[in-house]
Amino acid sequence: MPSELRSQEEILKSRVEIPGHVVHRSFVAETVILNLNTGKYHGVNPTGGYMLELLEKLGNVQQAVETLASEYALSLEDATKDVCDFCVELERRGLLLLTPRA
Amino acid sequence: MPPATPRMSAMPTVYPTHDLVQPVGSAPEPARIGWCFSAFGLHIMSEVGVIGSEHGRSTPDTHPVLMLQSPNELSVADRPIRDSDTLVIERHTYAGDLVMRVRRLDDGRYTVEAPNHGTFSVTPDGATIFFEQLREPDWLWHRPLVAQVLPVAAALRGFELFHASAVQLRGRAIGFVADSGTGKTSLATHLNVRGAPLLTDDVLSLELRGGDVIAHPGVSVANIASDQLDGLAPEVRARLGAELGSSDKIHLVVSNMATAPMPLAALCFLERSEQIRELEFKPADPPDPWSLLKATFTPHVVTPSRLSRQLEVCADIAAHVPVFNLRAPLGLTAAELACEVETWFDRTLA
Repeated sequence: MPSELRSQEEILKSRVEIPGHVVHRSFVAETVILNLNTGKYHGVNPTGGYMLELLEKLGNVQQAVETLASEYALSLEDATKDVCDFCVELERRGLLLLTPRA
Repeated sequence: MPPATPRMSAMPTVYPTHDLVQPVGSAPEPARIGWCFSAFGLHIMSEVGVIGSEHGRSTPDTHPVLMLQSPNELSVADRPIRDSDTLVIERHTYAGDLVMRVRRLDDGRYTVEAPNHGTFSVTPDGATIFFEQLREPDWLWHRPLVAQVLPVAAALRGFELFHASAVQLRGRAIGFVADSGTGKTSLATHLNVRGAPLLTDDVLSLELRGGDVIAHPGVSVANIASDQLDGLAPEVRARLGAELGSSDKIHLVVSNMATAPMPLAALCFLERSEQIRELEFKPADPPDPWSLLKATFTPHVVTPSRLSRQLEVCADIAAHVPVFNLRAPLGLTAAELACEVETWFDRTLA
């Protein structure tokens, strides 16, 4: 199911994976994400780049939200919205895979 | 009915490199591949002489490329355009005559057709270049070979290419990126006049090696607007190199060429306009990833490995190579600009 149709709660419980056809590199002021299937580049700002790093490293949305909230002194509510919106957008562009945790 | 297309699987392996030692099947006799030259990081063994090539010289084993007369079954000269082909470049004269067409065929080959120059195809792995219908004098077919064919082969063989000219200063490469017509060749040529060996004109081939960005020499030909050579004393002009011929530009065989790969010390984005009042060297801090990606050459080579490498090389340049915006007034001649650039880099690289 496309993630935009899922509830925030379902997204929070998802596992995250960067598909094999996606590579990304960090520049000083931007992270560039390349979708090898489409040949398209996508740019995200340093905060987006950090979210992507967290999602890739931790492998699940809930932990990424908690880490982000703690490191940026955000409320859990705000961090949840930011990370979930980010995941939905990346998934829509084929740059991220969200799967329900067992 | 269009002629049958040879299948991709049969192509790159028709003339593998080891055939030079032990000819197999229809592979050419070793004696026919007598010409060797290096360009853009490739080591090319050719059936025909190319400017800068030597007869009988052995080449390193790395990145070998064969350049052979196209067998009839692989001819692309009369191959009609098919729906499954990707047309990547097509240029015509005002009268509508074809100047150059670059296609990616459904079997993965790239073809470059320049009716008044020559026709070429590059196998999907970039390891073999086939040529046909080469026009004389030689410099005519050298133009598409250098401007399109070799860069496509280099991109397929693992090098990243920038639309840039480059010279060697203090043993390191300085690249000048600019749109066509901005003056990167003029600047590089006038730096060459001042003693800096030319590394490449118009296409800069880069490779990541051991944490460094390595720049490879191109071909020893520069295509320069004739007015950019005005004012040079005859002996200086002669020292620059012999004239091969002229079209919209003068084609020179450059005498003082860099001959070995070297680390890229700096990349300059050259901008010239009437609005710029004073010469300015401004560090691009931080370098803009999109400017770097846009400066790459042969954007039509979009294999996954090329795209990944493109991003990796750009990220590496941004992280490790000083990038500058070099803004120069139009009133400054290329010779004056070369003098300023040389002084500035002498100070910066010291």
